[in-house]
Amino acid sequence: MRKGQTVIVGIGNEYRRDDAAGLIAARRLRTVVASDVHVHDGIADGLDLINLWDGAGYVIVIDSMLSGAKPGTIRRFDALATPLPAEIFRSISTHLVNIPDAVSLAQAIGKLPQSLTVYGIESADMRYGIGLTPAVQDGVDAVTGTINYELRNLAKMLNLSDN
Amino acid sequence: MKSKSIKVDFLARVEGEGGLHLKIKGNRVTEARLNIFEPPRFFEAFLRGRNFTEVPDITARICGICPIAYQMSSCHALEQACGVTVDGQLRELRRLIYCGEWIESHALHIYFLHAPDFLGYQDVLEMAKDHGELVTKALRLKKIGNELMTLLGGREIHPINVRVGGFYKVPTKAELKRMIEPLEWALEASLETVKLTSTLSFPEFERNYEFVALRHPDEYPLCEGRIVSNKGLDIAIEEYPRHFEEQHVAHSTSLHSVLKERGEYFVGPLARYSLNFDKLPKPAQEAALTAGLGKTCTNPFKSIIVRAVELVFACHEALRIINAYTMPSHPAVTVTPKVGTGHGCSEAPRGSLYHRYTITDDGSITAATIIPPTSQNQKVIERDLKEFAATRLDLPEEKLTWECEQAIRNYDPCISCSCHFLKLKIDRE
Repeated sequence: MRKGQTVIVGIGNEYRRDDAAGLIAARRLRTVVASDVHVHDGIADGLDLINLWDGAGYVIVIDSMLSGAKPGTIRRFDALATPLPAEIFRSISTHLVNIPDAVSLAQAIGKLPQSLTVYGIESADMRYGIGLTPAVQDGVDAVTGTINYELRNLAKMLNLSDN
Repeated sequence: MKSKSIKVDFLARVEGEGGLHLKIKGNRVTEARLNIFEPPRFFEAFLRGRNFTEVPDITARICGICPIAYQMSSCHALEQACGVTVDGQLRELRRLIYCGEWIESHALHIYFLHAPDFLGYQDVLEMAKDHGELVTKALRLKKIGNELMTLLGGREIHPINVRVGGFYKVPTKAELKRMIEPLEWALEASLETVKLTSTLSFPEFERNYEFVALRHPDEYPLCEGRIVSNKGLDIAIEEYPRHFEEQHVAHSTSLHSVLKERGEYFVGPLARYSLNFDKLPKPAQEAALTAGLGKTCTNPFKSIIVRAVELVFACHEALRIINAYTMPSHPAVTVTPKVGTGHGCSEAPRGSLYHRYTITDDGSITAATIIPPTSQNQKVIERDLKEFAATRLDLPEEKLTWECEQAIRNYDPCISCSCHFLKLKIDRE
């Protein structure tokens, strides 16, 4: 893999309870990742994601999902290898482009990053309000640990390929 | 006589949730309704009791695409109530952040929401497969608009740097100069957008509209001016309640706005353009005339060209402001509340946005009225639908439905902005 900017994006609405899972995970990661990793947590629209990805090397997107699994379950998707399941990453807003559509649009115009991993955290409650349900909070803890570990391994791999 | 209905439950490629319903009897359209069923959002109600300083931050939440419009209309209304004028470089910075919003909103609408109609695609994803370069251009235009809003507003969604009296922090000249190169690109891209949109095919459809917009003696309007129309209206902003009123209709959670004397009216780019062509900068005027537009435009389908002309204006104006900028010594003027009512009107990307607030001497809001452009356009949208569909009843139903949806998209309706229900009446039996 060539070196390129590493970007983490947390998606969600912090006033819709578990929909904030991606945002909170990204904010937590910002405090522990290397300084050259760009972390964004103010993105809600898939169109803005495409602008962020453009030219990036390694991109991780974190979002809440509704797949029917137990709340707090984590699923990891390689978005370049297989299409993201639209039904589990559907936006709760009719005003925004969701992640699967953003990936499809970016693919159509040749604006995908070298690597695009999407982590979904299964949600329980997307009603108006602030605060994660306990199981989803556990999911956020798990995903931040996993991503931090993944990034450290990536850094080692990139250093090895440089040498 | 045979009757039929055409119904679309959820309109595509509009902001928010709405539907349309046409009733056809024989060869006549007897009824055309734009059904708005987004739940009322009660902003006007819950602003009561809040402090006037909170209003720009709260009203920005009404819209993720046009938050600056809400912030500017509310700031101007509250400043009027308090007897304060924001002038000089702070006034220019307000125009600059508004230019950012026009750029991102118009680019989004032209390329992502409306162009697919004209180019024969279901949506922008289908369009991107054949016209990737257009979508790439649109994304970059949107990004530049967002960057300008972030630079001046702190972030592009619900900006946090705007306050009554000005801003919390103002940029340095160096910070603004970094936007010159992207805006110069955006200006060229906007001129190309005018050329592109001028080559599209447009239905022959024109009506004798009453256009309403702000008009200012010195500039293309954004935040200030008088409210004028092409049928004789020429009033100060504070006279708005005497000439306009809101009506509740059963099929819409969004109130319909009318001119008391004459009924429906039309706000937005076509109205602004037709009432203010002489105030556009020369490059925008020349681009418009070369594109085949006159100094007025009454074909709503050509709103896509007019939006492109307004993109040229916004980029040109942004560059003008940045090149002339000197950093003000203070980010805001002092605003002391006093008892009174203030009115504000600014030109959101979709049209005139009117705010009115009454405050006490400690700055508490006791009454709030917010009238968005999409509320004001509902009657004209429904009449357009009725008259447009009437000329096309021989089309297959699928094509007629598609063209009616396209007719609604001419207005770039912001449906979730338009739901501001003040009164909630509960009847219990």
